[in-house]
Amino acid sequence: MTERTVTSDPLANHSDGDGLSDGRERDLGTDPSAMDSDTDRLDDAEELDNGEDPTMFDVSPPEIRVTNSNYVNVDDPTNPRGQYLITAEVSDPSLVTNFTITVDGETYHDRGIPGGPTDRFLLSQTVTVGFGQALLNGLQTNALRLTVGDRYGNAQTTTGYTSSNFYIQAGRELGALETLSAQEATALGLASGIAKSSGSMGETIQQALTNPEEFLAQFTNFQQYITLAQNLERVPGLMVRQYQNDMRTANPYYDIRSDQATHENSNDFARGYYVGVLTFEVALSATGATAGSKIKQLDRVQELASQPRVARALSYYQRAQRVPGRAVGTVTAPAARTGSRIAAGLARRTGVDGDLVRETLGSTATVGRQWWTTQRAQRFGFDRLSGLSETSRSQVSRLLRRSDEDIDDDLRAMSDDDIGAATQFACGVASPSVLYSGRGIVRQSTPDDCGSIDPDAFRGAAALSDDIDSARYEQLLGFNAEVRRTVARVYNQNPDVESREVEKYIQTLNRVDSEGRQSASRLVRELGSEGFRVTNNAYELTDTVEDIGSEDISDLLSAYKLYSESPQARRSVPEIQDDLTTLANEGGGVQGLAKAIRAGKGSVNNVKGLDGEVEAATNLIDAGVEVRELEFNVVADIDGNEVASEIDIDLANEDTGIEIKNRDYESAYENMPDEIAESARQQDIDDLVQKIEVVTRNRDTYIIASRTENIEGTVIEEAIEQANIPEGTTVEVITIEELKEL
Amino acid sequence: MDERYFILFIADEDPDVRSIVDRCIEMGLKTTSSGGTERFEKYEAKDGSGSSIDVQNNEVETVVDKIAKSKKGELTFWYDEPQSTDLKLSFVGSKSSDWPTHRVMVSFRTLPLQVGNQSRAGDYSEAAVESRVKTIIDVLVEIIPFVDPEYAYSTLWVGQNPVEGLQPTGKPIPKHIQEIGWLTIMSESTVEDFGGFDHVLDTPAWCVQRLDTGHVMIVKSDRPVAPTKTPSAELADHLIK
Repeated sequence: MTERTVTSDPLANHSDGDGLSDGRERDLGTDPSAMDSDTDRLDDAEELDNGEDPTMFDVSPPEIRVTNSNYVNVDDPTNPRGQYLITAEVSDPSLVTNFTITVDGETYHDRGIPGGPTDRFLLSQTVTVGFGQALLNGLQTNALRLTVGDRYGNAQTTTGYTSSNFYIQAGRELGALETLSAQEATALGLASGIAKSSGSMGETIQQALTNPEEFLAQFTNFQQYITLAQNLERVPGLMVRQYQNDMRTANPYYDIRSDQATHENSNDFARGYYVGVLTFEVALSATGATAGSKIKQLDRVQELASQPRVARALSYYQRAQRVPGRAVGTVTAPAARTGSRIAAGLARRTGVDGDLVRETLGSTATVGRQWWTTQRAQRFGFDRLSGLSETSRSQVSRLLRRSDEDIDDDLRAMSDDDIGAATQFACGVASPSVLYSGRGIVRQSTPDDCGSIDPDAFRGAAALSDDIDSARYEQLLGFNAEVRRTVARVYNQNPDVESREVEKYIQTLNRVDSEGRQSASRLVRELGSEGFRVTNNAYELTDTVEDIGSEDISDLLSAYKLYSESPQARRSVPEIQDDLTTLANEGGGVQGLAKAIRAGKGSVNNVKGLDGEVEAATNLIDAGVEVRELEFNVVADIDGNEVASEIDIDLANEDTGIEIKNRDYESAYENMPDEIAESARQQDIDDLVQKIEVVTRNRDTYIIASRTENIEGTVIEEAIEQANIPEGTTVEVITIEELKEL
Repeated sequence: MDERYFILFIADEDPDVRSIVDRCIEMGLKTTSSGGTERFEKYEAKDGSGSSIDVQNNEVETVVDKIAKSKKGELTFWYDEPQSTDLKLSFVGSKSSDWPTHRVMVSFRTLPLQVGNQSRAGDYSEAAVESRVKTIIDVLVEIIPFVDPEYAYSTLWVGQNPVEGLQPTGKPIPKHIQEIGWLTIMSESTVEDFGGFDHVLDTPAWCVQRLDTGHVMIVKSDRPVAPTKTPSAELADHLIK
């Protein structure tokens, strides 16, 4: 209190014009010459009217009317500027001087009113709560407090209740909240309930994750929870009030201040919310000591809920990620499934659609991933993240979401430029977006183009940008995402691959057509670094084999791709290519190779023919036999008709032709339907008879090299018996292996 | 490459042998290597058990009677010069009630269908090969009404089991094959299993043709071996994945 000396003319009626006579002012002890004796910006008479003491300074705190309190920018978990926005009208006749904002007890802003003290101020303040914090807060129901002070130190504190979580926030940003159907509002409530509970029951969920069967077997309190769910609004008691408060705070259709529903969806939201919360409470109970200790369990819920949720939730998601053999993307699926089974039971009894429950539970995986990403991004460093381009930041976020934790160190070690190069290379440019599905589930989505980003591609891309010629790197960037990621992935996985090999591969990709390029990429995916070598060696055939162009190589690569993926392939693609390289370089090149390569196009069986031929020819070369030509055409007069045929491998001595038979005729027909086998066998014999007759009229020796040991009494023997073979010529049957001994 | 290429027809009923032979002759196919059509120079009629009952040189009418009666036998036609351009029709109807039942196989040698072979016997030019492939496809289109296949697939006759992955092992067919050969024929109901007409007609193939009978014929590339352009890798994905 401050003492003041006042003066007055008692004869004068009213010196200061404040509506009080000087006499009356004398009686009151106010200053007759001042309208506002206590200088609290309230006239003396006004203070009297208000029942206040006009000689006392203002002791009333400022008035606050919160008009908005919510999270902003929560749709992108990597946004380092996670913010909370509060807007409020604040006023105090004796001037508002300062305000303080706290979120969950932590002070974020404590500052004076911009522009100086004022009696009325529209406060609109975004609180940068730190990267991830907004996200974190979005998972729970918490309070933001706004404290406004006047110049006399009177302070008013208002809780700017948030009714926000991700789903609600996303729905709000999309302007969808008011248009939701009852069922969709239920789903929204369900998601909110789950989100709230899952933030505080990490251990329980982890148990459900790691051993869902046992988890369910422990399920003993089901009926009690059903009752609770059905009667929640009516069951008295502290816990229930807590539930109610939480629900009402979360409910966007409920005004906590006036304590009433503001939209008809309010009840639907509440119903879904309770089912969501109870799903996890049931889970907690199921893992607790005994069925009879329900109250203790609920106490435990409270205890958990009161602990810092960051650590609990982080711990849950981190441990969940380490479940052996479980892919990152599906880590929350067992939880969703388990929760789903529990929730389905609850849903039946509480009238909530089961599919809706399941779908909503499934979508909580997104929340889990966001959590996890956020925590890892925090370790990566928000400052660095915020220093990256928007595209890089978004892509690093996606990488973190999709990869194992072992990439974190690499990421930290990379320069910003490398990260930029790698993200540009490994990922598309679109940012994640929030979607609103027809069933009322709001979820995060990412563009398809980023679907297959992985750490190897990311690291490989960064390494390639350093290791290979910049022109080649630019060419690589021009290929589609899958092709370039495959190159980067395999390069990273195979430290022995020389950058020169990759440069050559890129050059080859640039020369073949798009079909050939896709095929070469699939080969590399299938064969790893061997795929680079096969592709490069295949392309070299354009230099070494006459009449072979890049179109042929495109087709050959396509044929290789078919063959490498077929269970019917006899040998590996690198083996075939090695043989082709050998034949192309042997003594200036074996004739007919171009024809054989072309004949191998188009189907697995065509490649199989090529496979057998080149293997046999290479065997001969290894044995020191000189091969002149593959697929050499011959013609002969048979019974007055000119008949054409072909020698698979014609030797340089012009005496010997070799026919390659890839079939074991003893067993070949056993797997076919009888009617096919019968007819096919006869045609095999007829064709071979014709071939023997034509070739033996052109060569002295005809060797039939069979892939099988089973020669006696087979189709081959029957054909030789039936054929009209000229005198002085011989037909021999040997195994392909025996070719080496020629 | 000089191998045999097979087109295998799966059908509910045995085909109309007489109509098929008539259509082939009307299409200009010859029954003798010298260009005649009055007798079958090479054929093989079989009895019900599959044993050969007659093998060569008989009047067309007689041969048709024999095969129509036993439902089994093989006829050799010639569709161009030189003599190696044969086209064989095998009637293989089985009494087995197991599905799938093959009723007809059409086969030909691949040697005359490859461009650029050394021209030591006959014409291997682009035009000659194109004309031969066209003839084969035309003949197939003509005989489809008389075979009424549920499904027909094709394969080069090499390797241990040339039909593996191509022959359906059950129904629906798209779920029971792994590959699509050079030429495929589907009945209307089979087309439905493959995703319906609109989808099947969208197949990225060299030729997709809807016939008057409701069958759809898909030909992957311009030639069964050594095609000018490798068939699209997306073709099999489009139909069976």
